[in-house]
Amino acid sequence: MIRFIALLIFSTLFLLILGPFFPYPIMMVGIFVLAYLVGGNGITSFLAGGLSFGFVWFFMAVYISLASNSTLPSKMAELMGVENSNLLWLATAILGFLLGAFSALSGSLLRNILKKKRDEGIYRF
Amino acid sequence: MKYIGFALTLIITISLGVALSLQFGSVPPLGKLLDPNHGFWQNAYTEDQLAEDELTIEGLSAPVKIDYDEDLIPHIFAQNEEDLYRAQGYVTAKHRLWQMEFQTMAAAGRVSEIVGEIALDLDRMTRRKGLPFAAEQGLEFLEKNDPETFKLVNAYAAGVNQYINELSAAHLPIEYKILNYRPEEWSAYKSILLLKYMADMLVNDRDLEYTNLRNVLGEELMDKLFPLFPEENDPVIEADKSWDFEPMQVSIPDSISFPDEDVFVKTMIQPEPGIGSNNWAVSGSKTQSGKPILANDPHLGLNLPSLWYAMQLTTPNHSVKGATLPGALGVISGFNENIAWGVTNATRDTRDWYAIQFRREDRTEYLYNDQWIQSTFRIEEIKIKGQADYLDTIVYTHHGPIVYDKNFRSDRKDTNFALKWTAHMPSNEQRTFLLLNKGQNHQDYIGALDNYTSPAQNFVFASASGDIALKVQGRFPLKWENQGKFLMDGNDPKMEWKEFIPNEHNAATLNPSRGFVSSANQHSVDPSYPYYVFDNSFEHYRNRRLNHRLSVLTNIRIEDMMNLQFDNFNLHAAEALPAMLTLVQLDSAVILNDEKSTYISQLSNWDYHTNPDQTEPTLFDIWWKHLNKSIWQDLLELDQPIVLPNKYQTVRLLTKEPESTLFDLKATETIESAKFHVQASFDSMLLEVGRIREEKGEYNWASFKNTTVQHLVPNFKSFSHTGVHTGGGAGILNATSGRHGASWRMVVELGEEPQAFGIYPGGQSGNPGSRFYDNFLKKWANGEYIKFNLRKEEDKQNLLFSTTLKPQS
Repeated sequence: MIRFIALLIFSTLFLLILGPFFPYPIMMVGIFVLAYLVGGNGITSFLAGGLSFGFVWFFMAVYISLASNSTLPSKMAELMGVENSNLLWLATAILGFLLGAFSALSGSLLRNILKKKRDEGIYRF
Repeated sequence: MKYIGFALTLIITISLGVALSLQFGSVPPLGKLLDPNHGFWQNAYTEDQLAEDELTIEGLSAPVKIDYDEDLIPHIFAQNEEDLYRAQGYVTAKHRLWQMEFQTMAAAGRVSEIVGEIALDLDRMTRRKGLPFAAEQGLEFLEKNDPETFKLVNAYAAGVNQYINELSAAHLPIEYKILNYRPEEWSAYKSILLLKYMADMLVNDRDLEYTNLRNVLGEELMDKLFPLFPEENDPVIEADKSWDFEPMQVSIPDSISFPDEDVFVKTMIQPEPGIGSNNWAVSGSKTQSGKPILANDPHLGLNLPSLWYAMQLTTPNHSVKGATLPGALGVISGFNENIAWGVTNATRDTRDWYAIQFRREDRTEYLYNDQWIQSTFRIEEIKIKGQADYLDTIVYTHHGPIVYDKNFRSDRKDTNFALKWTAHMPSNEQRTFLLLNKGQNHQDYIGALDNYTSPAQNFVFASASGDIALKVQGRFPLKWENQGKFLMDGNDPKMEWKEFIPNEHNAATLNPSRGFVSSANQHSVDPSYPYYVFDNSFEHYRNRRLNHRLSVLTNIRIEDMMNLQFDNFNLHAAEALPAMLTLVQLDSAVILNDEKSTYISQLSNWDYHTNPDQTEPTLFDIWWKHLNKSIWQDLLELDQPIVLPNKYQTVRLLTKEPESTLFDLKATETIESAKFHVQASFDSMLLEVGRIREEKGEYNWASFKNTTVQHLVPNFKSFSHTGVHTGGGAGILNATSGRHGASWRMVVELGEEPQAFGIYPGGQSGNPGSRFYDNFLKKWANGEYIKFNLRKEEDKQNLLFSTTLKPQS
């Protein structure tokens, strides 16, 4: 649980602070590294990485929509064949979740493999 | 197992990351687009939310201040012209980058790079017409002959490039994000290309269609249906003007033989009939204030982002305001403290075609003056999105490029038509506008116009000192009668252009006694003008309405000129409908039929106005369309491209010679007269109106004509506006039809301080997410204007925000 919360907080802060400066694939690598460092199990990493990424993207999309009061979200929704522009918030959130979740899962699984290897090594000596 | 699990997850992760940043077919890269930090969400901010107080701009010699008023119109205050145009480039790019680049891509024949193979035919046509070639000529001319302008055009380009270089992924215009590409470097070449693109948009010719028509109709009927001057000619330069120059002599060849074979090529799309513009100036003797008033409304395709971008450009020596073309320097239609000017298209046949005979299939030599001359090849490399490049070889003769040949729009091996066009010649249109921007009097205006070649324009002028003037300016070849009206023989030197009409002989007028000057794309002159003036697309209705109104109006105020720009009177209907109603009622069954007689009485009571809620304009429009089609159906059924007689000539035939044999259809055994066509088309109209009423429930004019202001990418429907509620139509002073109309309306009263008003169907921002993207549209549709006076640097009212551009220290 503590690892879940730790990863959630670290990734959220990471995404909020560095997100504006780097394209999202770089952020995926970041989440991957964070998940590796925090070292939660597969499920906690998947959920923590996904929720933080999804939440940050969702929060930003909603924030921009409200702050700008622009008609662009509904124009884009129409252009993309989506009926309601609120669905774009959801789409952004889901996409963010997937990107974050799989990045974090990969990081956690890598740690799992390497940790095992190291253990084996120690055992041999 | 763990390894497999990791590998699998990693593959999914990487695939997600990669796949979402790629474009699949027309589906944009979704990850990039939805990323709230860099995707479309960032385009939701309006310009004032992103306002910057200070920016550093390389190459400036002194600080430049930009005041944006409440409509996001920038007022640029610079210390010298080089700084001014550098700032103009920077600011224009900031608000219109995607559009200015897209338009020059179109002008260069590079649309396929952005949208794929669908645009290949268009790109090939653009290149075959020689637009990139023409811009290269223009640039070379500028570099060699006008270093001053060249320097300014380069400063503008540097300003644009500075913006492009510092553009963050987040603030990239949304079209780039959706279409998944990035802006490239701007250059002086692109500014010139844009002006050539305007020439292409505004110039047309029907030489190949006329060649076919002459074969079908014969010379006599051609002259009757396509006369050089109409019966009621109401030209740009007043008909009673006496010409104060000794005309050049034209030597007419002893024997003229035009190639007389039918031409089967898919000819290029021509500017729509009814596209055009109005401009006029009334002298102080006719106005309430005693000061001259000038008005201009160029009619073009209605698009978003808007074609025009309003700006004020100020240095310590001059202050000018008006409509700019994103990509070109200075103001195109506007005013300064001393003068005002505006443009309409002075359509004239400056594009001619020559049939070329080559020696061998390799087309390296062609026949000219019975000798074999070397041709040159220009290989155009057209990049296509997602596909291999397309190479198009274009053969150039001394006449110009071969547009139509076996590789392009012709099935015949021996078709080789070369295009001769004034736009290909070295010229310096940019200088004309730079000089007009700081002009102070009539002499400056004439001096500025001397640099102007193509597309020929009617330049209207008024000055604070009380002058009004109009000049038809362009580079016009000195032609013998009928030269260039048809396809010509490229071998025969007699068919060639030799000299040009000197600028001083171009038709012009200054302070005519009638107290006004005006133009609406009609014939430039009266037959007394000593040079051959021919074009197929002269206007016959707006000009007469305009001149009639201007001659009866007295004590004119600015509002009267605004009302005239928004005048919805349909002169064509007023002249055609009474005859149509008379003819249709010759059939007694029509009068007895309830439905028919209702429509007839409705039309009989029509005031010929085309206000948005009226239904009569719809009835007339549909009726006329069917009538025209019915009368000319024999011509329409021909395989080869032709052009129909214009509606003015058709109306004359209908009213003056209703029994003419021209009304007879060859395919039928009976002999038809005008009555037959009028009655048949009336029935077609009933059917169509019935269908419209069933489908839409209404058939008022605005809903029927469906005025649409369309994004430059037509697929981006939600960035466009359809069904704009406004009146007018083609051939009407308020020339707002379905897709065309007044793209800019300006009225200026000169005086101590010019009083100006302007509007256009769009907004200052090119960003569909901004509230300034289309905020002028509603006002424009209602015939309203925004106050458009010159601003001083110290003015504080209606200020949205200010930005200072600082030189690099």
